[in-house]
This record gives sequence, C-alpha cells and structure tokens, in this order.
Amino acid sequence: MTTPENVVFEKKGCVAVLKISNPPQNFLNQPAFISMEYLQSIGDMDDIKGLVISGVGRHFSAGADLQNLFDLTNDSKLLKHEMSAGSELLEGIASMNIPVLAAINGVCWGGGLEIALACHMRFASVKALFAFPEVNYNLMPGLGGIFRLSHKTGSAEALALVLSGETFNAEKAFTLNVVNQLTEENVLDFAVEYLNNLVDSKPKKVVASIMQALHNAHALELHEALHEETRLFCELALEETANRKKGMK
Amino acid sequence: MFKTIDWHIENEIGFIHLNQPPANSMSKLFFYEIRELADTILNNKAVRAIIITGKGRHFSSGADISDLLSFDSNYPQQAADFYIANSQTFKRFYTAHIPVIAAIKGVCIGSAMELAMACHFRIATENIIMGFPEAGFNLMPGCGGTVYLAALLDEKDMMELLLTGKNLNAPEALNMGIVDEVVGKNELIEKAVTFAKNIVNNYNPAHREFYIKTYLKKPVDG
Repeated sequence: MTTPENVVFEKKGCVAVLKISNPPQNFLNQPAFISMEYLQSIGDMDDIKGLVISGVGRHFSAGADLQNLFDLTNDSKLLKHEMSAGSELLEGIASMNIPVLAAINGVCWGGGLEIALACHMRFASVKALFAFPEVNYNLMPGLGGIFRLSHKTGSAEALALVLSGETFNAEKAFTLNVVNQLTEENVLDFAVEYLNNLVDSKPKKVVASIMQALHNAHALELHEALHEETRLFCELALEETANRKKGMK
Repeated sequence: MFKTIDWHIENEIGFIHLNQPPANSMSKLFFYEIRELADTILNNKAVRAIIITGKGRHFSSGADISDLLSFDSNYPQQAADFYIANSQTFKRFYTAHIPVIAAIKGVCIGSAMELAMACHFRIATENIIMGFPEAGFNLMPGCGGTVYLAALLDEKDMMELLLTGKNLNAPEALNMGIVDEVVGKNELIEKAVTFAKNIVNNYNPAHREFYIKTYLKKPVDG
C-alpha cells in the first residue's frame, strides 16, 4: 500500500516507524490522520512485530489544524463522519496485535496527545510538552482522549487538565502516569531499540496472541476473557507441538 | 488423600500445600487433584480463608513444559477441554467469597504464577523468583495469567513480563504491585495466618487495597 503524503514510513529491524509529517509543528489536517486500511497494512506485514509512532523533526504533533476544523463545522454531516473516522482509527491503534509505542518529543497537544494516548506505551524526551488546549477554543477532546487520560491519571487529574487546558511538562506527565518512560537521549532511537528488544526473538504469532489476550482482559467479561486466553494458548501449543514433531523427524 | 497436594483445615483456615518435590511442579495429576480439592474446600462452610503455598523451599515451578508441548493433535478438543477446566479451577479461587492468600517462596513461575495471581493477596519471602517464561517456548499463559495480571499492571509492565519472560525478584515484584508484601523466610505462614484472621469478618474483595494497607504493610515510621 502506498504511504500517505502526511506520514513518513520506515522499517527498523522488526519495528515499523510511522512519523506524522506536516512540519514544523505536524498539525493534523483531519481527525483520522491515516486510513484504517493503511494502519492495518502495517499490522499485516510479516516482518513487522512492533510500531513506533512519532513526528517528523522537533515535534510529535501540535494537534488539529484549527482552520480545517472550523471549515469542517460548516458541514455537520461531514464533521461527524470525520470525527467518527478519527475515533475509529485511534481505537484501531489501541487494539493492534503488535505493541504500539508513541515516541514523543517537542509538543504533543490536542489531537497529537489523543494519538499518543491510544498507543500501548508512551516514551518521552525530558523536553516534551503536553496539553489538551481544546477548552481555550470552547471545544473538548473528541477522539477518546478524556476517557484514556482519566484511565491513567484518575478522573480528578484528568478533569483538571482538560478544563484548564494547562500545558504540562514531561516530568509531570511521567508523575501522572501519562508517560511510561522519560529519556534524555533521542527518544525515537530509544523507543525503536526498546521495542526491537521486546519482540525481536518472538514469532509474530506469539506476539499477536499475547497482545490479543491483553486486549481481551480489558474488553471482555472475566469468563469470556479466560476462555479466549485458553483458546489462544491451545492454538500456540498445537502449532508448537507439531513444529517440534516435524523437527524430530 | 491426594498425591500432589497436602491440605488441612486449622482454625477455620484451609491450608493448601503443593507437594511434588523438589519444586512442586504441576503435573496433569496435580490439575485433576486441585480441581477436586477446590470443590471440597470451597464448599466447606467451616473454611473462612484459604492459604496456598508449597512444601519445601519453593512455591512451584509450574506446569511441565514437556506436558504443554505434547498437545494431542489427534484429539485437540479433549486437550483444549483439559486446559479450560484448569483455567476454571483457578478462577474458582479468584471468584471465591472468602479471602484466598498465596504465600510465595522460592520459585513461582508459569502456571504457578497464574495460580498465585488468581489468589486475592500475595505475600512473599525475599528469595522469590516470579515470571512467565511461556513466550520463550513460543507459548503464552493459558490459565488466566494474562487476565489477572491486567487487573494490576499497566500495558508496558505486562508486555515486558509476557513477551520477554523476564524473572522478577522480591523488590521488583513488590514495586510492580505483583506481590503485596515481602516478609522474612521464617514468618511467611505466620504473617499469612495473621493477615487472614484480620480480614475474614465481612470480607469484601473490593476492599483489597484497604486490607493491604491496614493489615499487611509494615507501619512506616514518622
């Protein structure tokens, strides 16, 4: 599948790197910054077992291009359609069967922060800056960001951040569990190396099965999640037993 | 009488000792016996708390990897039914209305860690080794491990544990929230019993954090 114009794609080992590309601030022209099909095509690559999302240049993303967003409000049907597509895309990122890591430098605001929160982990440069500034324009985060933020920080802190539109630094993001890890090094290199180490030696099917089990644990009822886990285990055990038998012949 | 498990009831507490020396590995027989014991002990109204531990130096080394890798491909449904039943046995402890406490020492890996995670509380000695080595054999936990872990950890810690198969020592497990308190080797059972006695009245699993803070953690000076 051809790479869309607003992103840069490359492979580093068994990890794919997807950079939001609209320099210098990497504004997002539409709520779904890539198509679902394009995201899926990355997940389906046989040699790819992890994904790092980052930004071109000094910033992750400063969020939505406000002019575009206000233009969209002239057509309420189109606005709704595009916001739904954005929401679905982020849900697609969150439920990917390979680990997805946001490598954050510079600003990570609004829609940019929504993308980062949809990833499974967030690593940030110590100089990164975060905010949900929507309230300053009489708006609010609309792609699941409030839900995902409050899941990590608790609802009190999430409310404070969303209602104030406050810009907060990497240190605070780390303290509030918004960011899993801080680094003084180049955060993209750091993230790529971390993710390669995490999945490098494992067959893709094992990675995908474990990721599916993690999603199930949060999305399904206890009984169903347990049942699905055993089913995933049995599939792997069946295949591995067969492989070993073949190996012995 | 079971071949792989010792158990008794004392002062309203049911004690389950995994007993398959040297490391109390979980054979097929163990899974059949623990299934039967879960029935017996959870249906006994006189039992008001359960403590699960291992005989000797270890909690348990988990299922035999050779068993897991001899999945009977001629009868895949029978094999699957066996694992589903095992998962349900562990779930019975998880959903029990009385406190279930794992007293962990030495090795506690793979399915043994799944059993420990199905318990409501985990008290450990300083010499534990915990982890999920399954991915190293191109497998994954299949007895509820991922599900119980997800209730406690963030995605980064979970992926690291499950994908790398890395081992945790006592401070790491405590720091991650996998074990609730670390105690001296000789006081493990005593602490577990005292803790059980403190929480049996009107036990409510939703108060987990409160019980740990109030009755398990060492008081901090100052």
